[in-house]
Amino acid sequence: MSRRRGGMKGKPAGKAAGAGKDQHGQFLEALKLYEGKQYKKALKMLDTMMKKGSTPDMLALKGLCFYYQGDKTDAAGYIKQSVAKIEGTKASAICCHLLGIYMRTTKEYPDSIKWFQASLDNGSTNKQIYRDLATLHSQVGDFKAALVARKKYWEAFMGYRANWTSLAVAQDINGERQQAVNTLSQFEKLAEGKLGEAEMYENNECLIYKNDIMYKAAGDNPDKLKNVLHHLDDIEANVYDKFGLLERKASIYMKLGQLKDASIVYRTLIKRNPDNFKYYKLLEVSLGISGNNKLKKALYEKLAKFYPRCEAPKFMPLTFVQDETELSKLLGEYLLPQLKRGVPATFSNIKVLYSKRRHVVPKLVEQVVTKYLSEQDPKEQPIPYIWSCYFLAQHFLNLRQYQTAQEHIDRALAHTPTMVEFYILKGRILKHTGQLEQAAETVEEGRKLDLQDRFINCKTVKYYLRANMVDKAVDVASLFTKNDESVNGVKDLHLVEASWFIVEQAEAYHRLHVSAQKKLADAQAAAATATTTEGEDSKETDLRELEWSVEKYEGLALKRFHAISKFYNQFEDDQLDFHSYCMRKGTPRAYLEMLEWGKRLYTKPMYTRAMNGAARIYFNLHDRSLKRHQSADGEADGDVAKKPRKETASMKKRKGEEKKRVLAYPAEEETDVFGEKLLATKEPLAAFNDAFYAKYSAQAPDSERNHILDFEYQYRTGKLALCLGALSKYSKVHDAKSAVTGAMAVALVLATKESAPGDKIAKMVATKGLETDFSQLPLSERDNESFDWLSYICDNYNATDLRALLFMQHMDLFDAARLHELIMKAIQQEEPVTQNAVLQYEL
Amino acid sequence: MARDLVNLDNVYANNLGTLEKICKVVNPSIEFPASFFEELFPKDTKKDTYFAQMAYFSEIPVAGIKSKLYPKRKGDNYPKGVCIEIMATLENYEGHGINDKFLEYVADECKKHHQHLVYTHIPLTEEKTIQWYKDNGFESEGDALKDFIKTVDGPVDAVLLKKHYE
Repeated sequence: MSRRRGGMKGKPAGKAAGAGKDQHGQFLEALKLYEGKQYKKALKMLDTMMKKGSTPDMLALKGLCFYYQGDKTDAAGYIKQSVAKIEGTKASAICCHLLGIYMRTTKEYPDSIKWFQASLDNGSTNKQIYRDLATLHSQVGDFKAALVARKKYWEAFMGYRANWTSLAVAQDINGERQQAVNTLSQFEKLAEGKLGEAEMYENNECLIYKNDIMYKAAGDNPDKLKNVLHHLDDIEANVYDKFGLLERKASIYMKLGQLKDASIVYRTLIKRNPDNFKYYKLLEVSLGISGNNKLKKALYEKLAKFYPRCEAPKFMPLTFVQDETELSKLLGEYLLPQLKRGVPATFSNIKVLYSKRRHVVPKLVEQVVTKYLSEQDPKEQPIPYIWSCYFLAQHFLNLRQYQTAQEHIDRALAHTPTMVEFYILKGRILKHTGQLEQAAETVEEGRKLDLQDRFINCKTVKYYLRANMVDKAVDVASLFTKNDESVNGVKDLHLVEASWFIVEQAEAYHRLHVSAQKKLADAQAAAATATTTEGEDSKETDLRELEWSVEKYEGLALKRFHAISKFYNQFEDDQLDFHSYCMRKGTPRAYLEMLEWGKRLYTKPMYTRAMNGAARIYFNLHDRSLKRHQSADGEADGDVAKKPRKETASMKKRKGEEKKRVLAYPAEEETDVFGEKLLATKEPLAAFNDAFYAKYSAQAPDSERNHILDFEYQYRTGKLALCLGALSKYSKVHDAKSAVTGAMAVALVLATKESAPGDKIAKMVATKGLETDFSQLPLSERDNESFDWLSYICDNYNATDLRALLFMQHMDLFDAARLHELIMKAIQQEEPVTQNAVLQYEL
Repeated sequence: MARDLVNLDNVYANNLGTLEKICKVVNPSIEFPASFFEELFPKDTKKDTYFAQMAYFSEIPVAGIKSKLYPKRKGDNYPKGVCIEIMATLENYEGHGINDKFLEYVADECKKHHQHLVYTHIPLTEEKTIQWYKDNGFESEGDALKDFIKTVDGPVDAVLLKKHYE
């Protein structure tokens, strides 16, 4: 963030508290030095003054000077001292302002707001503070307060368009739509005829933004909508976003029921961009022919003639034509010219039909393309030949016929072994069959054909990571990173926020951890039964090595997951600058879009993926610590208490080497390379909540939440009422009859047992809820130790629901051997790669 | 704009792997030492000059040629001139005149470097290839070179084919 201290230019509002006149003058001089970035001089001056006793003002200024000199620990110390000397917020306006600035730079926004506000309350006349306040309020999502601040600032500086725009945006966000429109109109009047060329873009954005607000405010009211339409006509000449304008126009016509007019607009839009599928769909609606295949066909035939070079009118009939002979003909007309030209994306173009019309399209496509391929001579028509093979390989992969898919891609490769695409596809097929190493090697073979192809470089890295070959992956990835002094690109990949890499690496580490754990368990079991003392030493070292692997991989996985969380925190923080920047640039529409994005930031796929990964580790840590407690309670022998491990010299050396390879942040800032400190947390659940869950939970809507995660988390925190909430939401959003619902409900029943640990009241609440919403469960058997709940679930729900079975596996409530059996049965219907994953890392 | 279906382009360090792939696929029996390809992009400043190209059929790399300049005579087998060390086209892309283009290219380079001789060594067993060279004005010279080319099945005899350019 840029260092903005614009606010300090204003006249100091009051005397520094508790200081003489002379001293006050000196303080102001120091302040000036600070503003001129002469921190050393400022500090020197402050030191002389402070010999006679220090005030909060001086301490705050000293803290800021230290901060900008880069001495952050000292800075924090002085700020703390300063705050400690202040009773509540009773300090001079300058002091409060300084503290506000400091807190803003250290990203303690709520505190920053408090001090900025205090500065105003304590008599500061510095109006700039309002702008800073508005920005901060917006950042923390307090738009009501932001509106107040925006208004104050606007009152003070009416000469800037940015202030009018910000005010309107704030009003809009607070639902004061009419006021927002008025604000924008008022400025338009003021500015009329005075705008230069340079300001026209900003003007255009504000005009269409006003129309946005009007449209939102109009709802379905026809008079108001007509008004919006008039306004649209008025501003048309000055608006640059013609698509937006036309789309708005069409949707108003649709709302008003003027379908004919709407259809004309949609035709105009199609003319502007005949490749946008959306416009065709909407044209159908406006013509009132969505349900009439005959008319639709006629329409697209005409359009296809009109736009002969265009995909969309040829494609659209494929989505609705019912007659198979005809559909087959149309598919041929659509696909074969592309295959003839050698369009690599041919399959992607029709892939959507494979899910939407699975029972018709794939079989017809197979006939059409197989026939076409048989007519192509590999020597005479090499291009159609290879791309048809490529196409069919994808087709069979989609149908999960791996063998046939592989045959086709092999044909393509044998014909033309120089196409990178073919290697990628072959890798993909191998991946689905569970041959992860071979998949990676195949993609690597393709990568070697063209070293400057970044796409295949990334693909190779990903495939290596999927195959748990982390070192190889890092080596390949490092070919494209800025490595400077580091031995590889891991640090750079963190710096550029390459979350795809980091999350894949995290998951690879986690898989390695699970494998190492298994090996360790086996080795320990073997060591326990072994009676010979021979080779004791080497076994001992082997065990130690394994222990270290277990810990290292788990720590690294967690460390990487945390890195993702950090990125998202950074993304959130990055918004700060835009609360003022967008206003200055006059891009309110983009700004509002950003706010919407910010509201869903922590529910984005990458974040949730990292969260789910971290959850596995943290839940595991929690469960382990519980078990340790139990066994420690039972007998105090504490076999689990680790013997202080003595690191051998060679191991220490290796660890040092490894450190260089896994280092994620600059070495001088990094204190926990292997994530050992993260693992050492005393409260895994709280750590998980702080780093991942709380932010997700606050943003995720009920309809999209991961209720299973909610349940697992709350179950472990002992909040059974919240478990009940997750359970009933899951059964509402998904399916009350699904096995997951059943498994969750049973888990909750068992948690309310008398003998189960936990809070009585929570149990009662949960029981009550179960009685009302899940009365079909045999609740009366709750305390019957011999009741077979697992059989109950199997008998009453789909016993091959893998998600449910894995949930039970994670909850560890039932007989492991029986559950394994069920899981083994359930995975038979899965594809090989999933089977392997479950076998290796879940059982 | 009508575009030629076949185009030639330089070999670069980054797509050297493609050339290697083509050569190995077309000549599965020949053992190429790693240096055979790496020497095109030497790490040190070696003075050898190579002419290498790849042919693209509708933008797909399908053929490659590598030849070496011998500015001085180096034994009977390596006279002064340009030696075509390998010329390979994927089987399915033969018959598009790629080899003609390659030959034209080598002849051009030969002239540019003030040489008058292009020559190559072809295994005796590859009659078709020998015939092609002969059709293009090459003449065989001397006896067969015993055990000249190493393959996985053991060494094979080769013939020296050469053509003079003025």
